[in-house]
Amino acid sequence: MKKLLQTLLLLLICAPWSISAQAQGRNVSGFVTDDSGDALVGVTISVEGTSTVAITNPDGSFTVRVPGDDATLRFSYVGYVTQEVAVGSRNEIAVVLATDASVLEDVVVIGYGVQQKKLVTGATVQVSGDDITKLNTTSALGALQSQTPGVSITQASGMPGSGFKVFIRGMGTINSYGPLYVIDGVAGGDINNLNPADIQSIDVLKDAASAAIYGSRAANGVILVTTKQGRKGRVQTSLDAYYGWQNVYRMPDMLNAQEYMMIQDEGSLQDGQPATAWENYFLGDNRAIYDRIMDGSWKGTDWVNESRNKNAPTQNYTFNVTGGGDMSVFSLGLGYTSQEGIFGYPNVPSWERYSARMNSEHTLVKGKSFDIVKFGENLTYTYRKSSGMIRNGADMYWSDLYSLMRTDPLSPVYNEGYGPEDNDDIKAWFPGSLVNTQLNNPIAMTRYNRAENLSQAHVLRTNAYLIIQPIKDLIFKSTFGYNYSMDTGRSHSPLYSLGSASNTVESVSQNMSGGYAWNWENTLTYQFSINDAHNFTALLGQSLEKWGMGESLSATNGNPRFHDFEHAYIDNTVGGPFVLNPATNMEGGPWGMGRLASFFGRVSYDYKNKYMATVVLRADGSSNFARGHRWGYFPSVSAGWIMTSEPWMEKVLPVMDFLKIRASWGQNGNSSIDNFQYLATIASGASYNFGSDKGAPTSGSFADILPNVDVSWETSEQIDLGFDARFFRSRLGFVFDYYVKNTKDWLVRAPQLASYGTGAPYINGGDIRNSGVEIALDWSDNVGEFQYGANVNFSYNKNEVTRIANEQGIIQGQTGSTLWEMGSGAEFYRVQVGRPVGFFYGYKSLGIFQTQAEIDSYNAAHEDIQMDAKPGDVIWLDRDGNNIIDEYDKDMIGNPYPDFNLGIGLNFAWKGFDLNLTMNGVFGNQIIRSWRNWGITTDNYTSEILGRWHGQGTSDRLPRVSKADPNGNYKRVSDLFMEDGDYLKMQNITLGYDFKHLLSKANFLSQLRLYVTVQNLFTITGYSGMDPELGQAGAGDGFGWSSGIDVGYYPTPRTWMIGANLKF
Amino acid sequence: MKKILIVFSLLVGFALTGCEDFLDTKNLTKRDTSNYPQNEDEVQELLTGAYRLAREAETAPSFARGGFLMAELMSDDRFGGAGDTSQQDLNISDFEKFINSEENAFAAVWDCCYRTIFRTNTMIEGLALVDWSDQSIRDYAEGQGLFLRSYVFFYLARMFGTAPMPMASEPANLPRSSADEIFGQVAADLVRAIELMPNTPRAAERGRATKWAAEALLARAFLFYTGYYNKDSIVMAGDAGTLTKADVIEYLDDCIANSGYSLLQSTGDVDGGGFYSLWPYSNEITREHGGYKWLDDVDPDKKVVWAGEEGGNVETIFAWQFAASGGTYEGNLLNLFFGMRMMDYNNTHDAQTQRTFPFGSGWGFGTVNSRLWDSWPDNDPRKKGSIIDINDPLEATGYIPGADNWQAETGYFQKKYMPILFEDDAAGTVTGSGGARVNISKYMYPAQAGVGYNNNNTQDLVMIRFADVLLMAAELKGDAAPLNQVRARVGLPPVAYSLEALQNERRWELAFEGIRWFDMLRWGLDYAGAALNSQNGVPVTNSHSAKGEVIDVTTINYGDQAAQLRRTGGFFPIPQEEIEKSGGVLVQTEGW
Repeated sequence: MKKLLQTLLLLLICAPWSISAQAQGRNVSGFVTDDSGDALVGVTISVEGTSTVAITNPDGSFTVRVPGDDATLRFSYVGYVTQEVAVGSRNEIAVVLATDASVLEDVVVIGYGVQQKKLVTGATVQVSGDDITKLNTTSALGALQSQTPGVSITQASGMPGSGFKVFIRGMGTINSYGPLYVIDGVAGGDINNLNPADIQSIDVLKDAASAAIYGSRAANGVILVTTKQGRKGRVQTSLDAYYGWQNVYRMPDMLNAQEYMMIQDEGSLQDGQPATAWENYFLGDNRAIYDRIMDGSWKGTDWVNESRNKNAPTQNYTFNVTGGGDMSVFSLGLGYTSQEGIFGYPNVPSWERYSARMNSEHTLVKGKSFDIVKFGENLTYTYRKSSGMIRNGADMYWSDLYSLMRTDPLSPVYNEGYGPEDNDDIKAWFPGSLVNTQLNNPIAMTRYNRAENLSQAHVLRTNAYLIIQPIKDLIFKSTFGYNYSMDTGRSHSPLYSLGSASNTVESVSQNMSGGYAWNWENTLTYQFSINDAHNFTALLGQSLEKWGMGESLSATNGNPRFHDFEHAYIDNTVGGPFVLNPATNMEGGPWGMGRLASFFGRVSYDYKNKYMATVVLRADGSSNFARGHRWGYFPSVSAGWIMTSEPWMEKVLPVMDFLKIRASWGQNGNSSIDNFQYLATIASGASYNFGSDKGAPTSGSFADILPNVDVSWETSEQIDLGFDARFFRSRLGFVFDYYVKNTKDWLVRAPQLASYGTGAPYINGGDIRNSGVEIALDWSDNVGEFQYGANVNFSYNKNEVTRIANEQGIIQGQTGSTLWEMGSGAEFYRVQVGRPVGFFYGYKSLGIFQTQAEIDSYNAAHEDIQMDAKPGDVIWLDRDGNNIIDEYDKDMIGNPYPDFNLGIGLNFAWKGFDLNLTMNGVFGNQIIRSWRNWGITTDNYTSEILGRWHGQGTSDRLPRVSKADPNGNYKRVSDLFMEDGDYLKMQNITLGYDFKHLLSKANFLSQLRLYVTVQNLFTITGYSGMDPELGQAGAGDGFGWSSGIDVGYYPTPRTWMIGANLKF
Repeated sequence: MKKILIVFSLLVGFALTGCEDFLDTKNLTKRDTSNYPQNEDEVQELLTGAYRLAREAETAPSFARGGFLMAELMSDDRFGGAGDTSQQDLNISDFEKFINSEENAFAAVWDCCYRTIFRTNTMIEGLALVDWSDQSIRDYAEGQGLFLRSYVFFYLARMFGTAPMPMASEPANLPRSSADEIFGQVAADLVRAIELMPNTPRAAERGRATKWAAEALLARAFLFYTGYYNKDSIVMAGDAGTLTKADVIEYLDDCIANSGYSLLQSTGDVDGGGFYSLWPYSNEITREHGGYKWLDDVDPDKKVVWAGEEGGNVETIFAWQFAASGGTYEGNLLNLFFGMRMMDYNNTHDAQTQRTFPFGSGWGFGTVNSRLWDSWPDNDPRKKGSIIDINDPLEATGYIPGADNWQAETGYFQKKYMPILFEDDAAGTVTGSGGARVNISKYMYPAQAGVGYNNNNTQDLVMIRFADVLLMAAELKGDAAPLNQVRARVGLPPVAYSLEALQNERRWELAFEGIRWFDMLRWGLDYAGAALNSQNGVPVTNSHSAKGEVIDVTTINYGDQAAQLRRTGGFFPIPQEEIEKSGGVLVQTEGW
C-alpha cells in the first residue's frame, strides 16, 4: 500500500511534465508479482509495435513510456506465461504472471500416439524442427549430432549428400546396427531424403520400453520424425535461404619432390643399397622435369591439392506455408538443396535435392465438442541427383584420395604445353608415375572414370489416414502408407590410355530400379479416468507391411555413336541395343521381398499425474524366418514417479520445480537379414566349358549357403533408470539416465571354416552388452533484454561382446588387403568375446632400438627374438612370451568407438540479434590411418615421416625407413598406425539479426532475419588426418560394424554461409 | 481392461494361424535344396559347378598361389620372378626360401578346394534323389564326381601333406586326416570311378574326366604316396582292399592300350614337330600373321601346326578348359602370370608393338633357371621347343632386360604357357585393332575382342597327357620301352632304363607343366634338397625401375634349401585364419 501511494505521488508530480512532452506519449507504472504475490524481478516489459522496453526493479516495480491509450504492454519472464495487457487510459497497472507449466506440458511423440512429456516413463529425447533448421545442415541428422545424448551420429564422409552412421546407446549388433526410422508414423525410409525445414520434430526412443511398441526392428532404438503439420489460424508463410562456400579444413602435408627423393634414398641406404639414380627415371623429354626438381624451381606435384575444388558452393531454399480453419488444416513445403564436393577436380562431385511436402487434415463429421470423423494425408516427394562422385571406400582400391596421396610427387599433372583447360584432351595428361608404372595420373583417372555419370532418385512417401471418434476419448485410426522409389543412372566410359590403365572399349551404361512398399495399420485408443484420479490410455493395434516389390535392370553396351555423356544411352550404340559387343552386359532382377505382420497393445496409467506406469506387448511375424520360428514377442514395462507432486516435497519447490524418477525394462527385436537363410539356396552361374567351343559355357550350380532352419529373432533387452528434474523456475533442466542393454542372439553371418565348403548362413550368433550413462543439462534465462541459454549433453557407453557362437569366439574382420597391401593379408579389426565390437587388432610396439648394442643384449635375453633388427627398428611386444614374434602376439591396439560423446549448445539473443554456437566431440576412440601402400616402397609419405628414426636418439616412435623392412616395422599392422580420435568440433556458429526490429511498421512481416554461419570453424584434436569425424567402416559386405579406418577419407568441409529467414 | 486383453489374445491367436500365409514369400531368383536336384539335368549342373571350382583351385584366382604355379616356382627349374612393386609378388618368391610372409597365403586355394569337395559331395548325395533314365548316365556322373573329389584330395595332400577330408556336405570341424587316410580314400574312389566310367576310347565330350584320366591320376597318386612315404602299396578306404604296384601297372597298360590317346606325331619331317604341335606358339594364325622367327627357321615349310584343343589333339587326357568370356578368373591365369613382364601396356612405351612377339605380356613369374638350359642337351628339340633364349636373335627381339622392375631375370623363359599373339593387319580386319599385335584368342573367339590382357588367354591347362602316362609306366615297370617312345617322338635315340634316365626324361618332356616339384618330392628329400640347393649361385638380375635402367647383377641365394625342405617336408602352411576358426582342431603344417 505504501508503494502504491509512492507511485501515485510520483505520477501526480510527473504527469504535467509528461503531458507537455505530448508527442512522446506518457508513462505508465506498475508492478509485477507471481501468483503467490511475490514481486518478480527482471520481468521484460515491451511496448508492442515500438522498440521501447523496460525491466522490473528489485521490488517488482516498473515505469515505461507508452505512445498512447491504444498501447499494449507485453510482460515476459522465463518460466512464466507471457501476458499482454492493453493500457487504455490507465497510468498504473498491476500484473500477476502465471507460472508457465508448458515446459512440462509439452507433448512428445511416442509411437502410435503422443504423450505429455511429464508423464513419459521411458528415455526419449525430442529435438524441435527449429533447433534442426537453425544449424543449416543438408540432412537433419547432421543437426542432431550435438543435441541427442546417447545417440552416436557420424557423417559417413564429407562427400556431398553422404549419409550418416547412426547408432543408439552403443553398437548393439554387428549385422544391422542402425535405428528404425519412422517418418509420420510409417516405418522405414531415409531421413536424408527430407529437407530439414520440413521437420516439425524428431523424437528418439532410446530405451527398450519406449521402443517396444515397434517390437521387431526396434532393437537398435527408434527415431520418430514428424513433418510439419497444419495449424489452425492465419496462413503463415516462410522463406528460408542460404548460400555457402565450402573449403578443405586441413590439407595433408605430403612430401615434395626433393623430400621424397631424400626419404627414398635413405630407405635404400638403410638396406645397404645404393641411392636411386633418379635421373634414370627421367629419360628423353622428361629430363627437363628432373632438372627443374633438382634446381628447386619445381617442388613436384601435390596431387591432393590438385584435386581441390575451392569455394565449393552449397545452397538451400525452402518455402513453407501453414494454415487452416475449423474444418481443414494444411502444411506445404518446397525445398531445394545443392552441394558440391571439395575434392574431385577436374570433375566436381555435385549433389542436388528437390523436395515437396503436402500434409493436410480435414474434419468430415464434426461433433459438439470433438471431431467425429477426420481424414488426413502426408505426402513427401523427393528428387535427388548426383554426379561426379569420387570413390571414398575404406578399401584403398576404392579410395580416390588414397590414390592422390600415395602417388609420388615426381611427375607433373599435365604434359608440357598443356594445362587445366585441356582436360578433355587425352594428350594433355602426363600418364602417371615414372617411378611406379602401376600408378597412373590420379587426376586424369578421376576425369576419365568418375566424371561422366548421373544418378537420379525419385522417392515418394505417402500415407492417408482416417480417424473416427465415435464417443469421447475413443479413437480409431486407420493408416495406409505407400512408398515408391525409383533410381536411374547412366554413364559414359570414354576411351583412354594412361600409364598402366586403359579403357579400350568405349561404352555407355544405363540402370533403373524401381519398386514400392505398403503398410496398413489400425489402432484403437481409449482414454478414461476413474474418480478423476486413475487415468488410463489403452491402445490396441495391428499392422501389416510388405516391401521389396520392385525390379532392377541395367545394361551396358559398347561402340556408342556419340562420344560424350550427354548422349550416353544404350539406343545410341552402333546398331542399337540389339548388336552385342565386348562391352555388352545386362542384368535384371527382383528386389528382395519381405513381409511383417504385427499385433501390439499398450496401456498407460497414471494416478493423479503422480505415479505412472506403462505396459507394452508386441508380437511380430517376419517372413525372413521359417514357419515355427517366425513370431517374436516383445514386452516392456516402465514406471515413473513425479516426486514433486507429493505434498511433502513442497519445501523444495522454490529450488526444484519438477522431479520425475523413471525405470523401465523391455525387449526389442531385429530380423533384418537376407531372406531364405533357413534354406540352402542354389546359385547358378558356376559355368564350365566342356567341349571344343570355349565361347559356349555349360551352366552349373551349387548350394551357396549352408541352411539354418533355426534362425530367428535377435533380441535386445534393456534396463533404464533415470530422472528428469527442473530447477529455479524451470530455468535449469537436468536429465539423467543409466542403462544396460544386452543384445542377445545377434543375427550374424559368422565366418565359418572354409572346409564347410560354401557360404555361411545367418545364425543367432552372439551377445553384446552396452551400458552407459547419459546426462543432459540445459539452462535458459535473461538479464533484461539479454537472453541466453546453454545446453550440455554428455554420454558414456561401454561396449563389450559377451558371446560368439563359433569355435574361436571371434568374428574376423576382412582379410586380404583392405588397409594396405602390406602383404600379410591379415585382418586388423575383429569382434571377440570380452572386447568392444570392431576393435583394432595388431602388434604392439615397445619403442625403437637405438643402438646395435641394445639389440644384441635384447636378443641375448630373449633367445634371438628379433635377429633381423637393426638400429631404428621397432621393438615388438612378445605378448605370449615365447620369444617368437608371430600372429599370437597380436592383440587389441585400439577401439574405434568413443567412450564419451559430448554436445554443447550456447545461444544468446539481444534486441533482435541472435548468436548460436554448437560444438560436439567424442573422446576415447582410436583411428587407424594409412595413406600409403607399405608394401610398395615408392609410395609417397606425409611429412610425418621426416620425424622418423635416422640416428640414435632421433625418434622413439617412428622407425627408420627401410625398403626391405626386414623387421616388419611398417608391414605389420601395429599401434604405429593408431592415433587417438578424440576431438571437439566447433560445429556451428551463427550470428543473425532480425530486421523486424527496425521495421516495426511492417505489420505483415513477422520476421526478416539475416545471418552468417560458419560450420566446422575449428576442430580441437590430436588426430593428424584431415578429419577425425570418421564414420568409415571396413570394406566388403557385412563389415559395416567396423569403423575408424582412414585410407584417404573425404573430410567434412569448413563452410561459411549467409542466409535469410523471412516470415509473413 | 480385461476385455482388451481378451481381444488382444484373440488377435494374436489369429495371427499365429491366419498370418502364416501372408508371411510366406517366394524366392524369385534361386532354387533351394528342399527341391534340388529334381532331375538328371540338375545333377549335371551341380557337377558342372564342381568342375568350375576345381579349375579355380589350380589357377588360384587370388594372388596366384595355386598348385600349378607354386609347383613351378618351388622346383629347381624356375625362380619367382615377377616385379618388386607388389608385395604379393615378392611374398610368393619368399616361398622359395621357405619363408611365409602371409598368414593366409593359401586361403584362396584352401577355399577353392573345399568348395569343390562340398560341391562334389552335394552332387554325389543328389544322385539318389532323382530318377535316372539310364544307369550308365548316373554312373558316369558319379564317376566324374569321384574323380574331381579325388583330384582335390590329392591336390591337398601334395600341397599341405595332410588336410581335413569331409566325405559329406554336412559341416563338421574335422582335424587333418593323415596321408594314409587321404591316399586310401583317393585310391578307393578312383578305382570306383574307373569301374563306373564308360570304357569307350576318347570319351565324347572334351574337358570331362574319363576312365583313362582316372587311371592316370591313380598312377600319379600311387607314385607320389609310395615315393614320398616310402611305401609299397596303398591300403584303400573301406573294404576296397590294397592297391599294389601291379594293380596300377594294369591300369596304366589299359590306358595305353585302350584309351585311344597317343603321342602326337609330327605332320612334317621336323624333329620335335609333334612336340611343338602341342603348344599354341605353333598355331597357324600367328605364323600367317606376323610369324614366329624361331619356328619359321626350324620349319620353313610351315608344316608344324598346333594341334589345338579339339579332336585333333590326341595327347591330352585331361585338361582344365577355360572360357572365352573375358570374365575375371575365367581365362587361363597361368599364361598371365608367366607372360613376360614388359611395358607394352604402358602408353609411354610402344603400346602396339608387343616387343616380345609372338609372346605377350604378363606378370613375369617363373623365370627359368639357366642351369636347366645348360644341362639340357642341345640335340633335344624339346629344349628350344620349351625355352625362350633371349640371346637367340630369332626370339623376342624387342625384349628389354629388366623391364618393369623384373626380379630374378636369367634371360630364359618357358614357352609352353604364354600369351600368344598374332599381328592384325593394318586394316584391323580381324579384331578392329589395325596394326596391333593381339592375343590369338581374339581371332578364335570374337567375344574376346575387347578383353584386356589379364583375361584374354584361353589355352587349356593340360594336367595329364599321354607322354606322362608312358613315363609313369616306364617308371613303375622299370622298363625303357615306353620312355623311348617319348624320346623317339622328338627324334632322340633310345636309352637304357635307369632311374636317372627316367628322371631326366620326365624333367625335359614335362618341363613347366606343374609336375617337376612333386616329382622331386617323391624321389626323396635328398634328391629334392640337392636339386634345390643347386639353384644357389645362379646369376640373375633384379631391376628396380620401370624401363630396366636400374639393374642389380647378383646371384640366387636361397640359403640351405635342403635344410628348409627337411623342416617343412616340402609342404605349405595352411591359412592361419582356418586354424583360428577351428578353435585349435586344425594345427599348422610342421615347420611353419
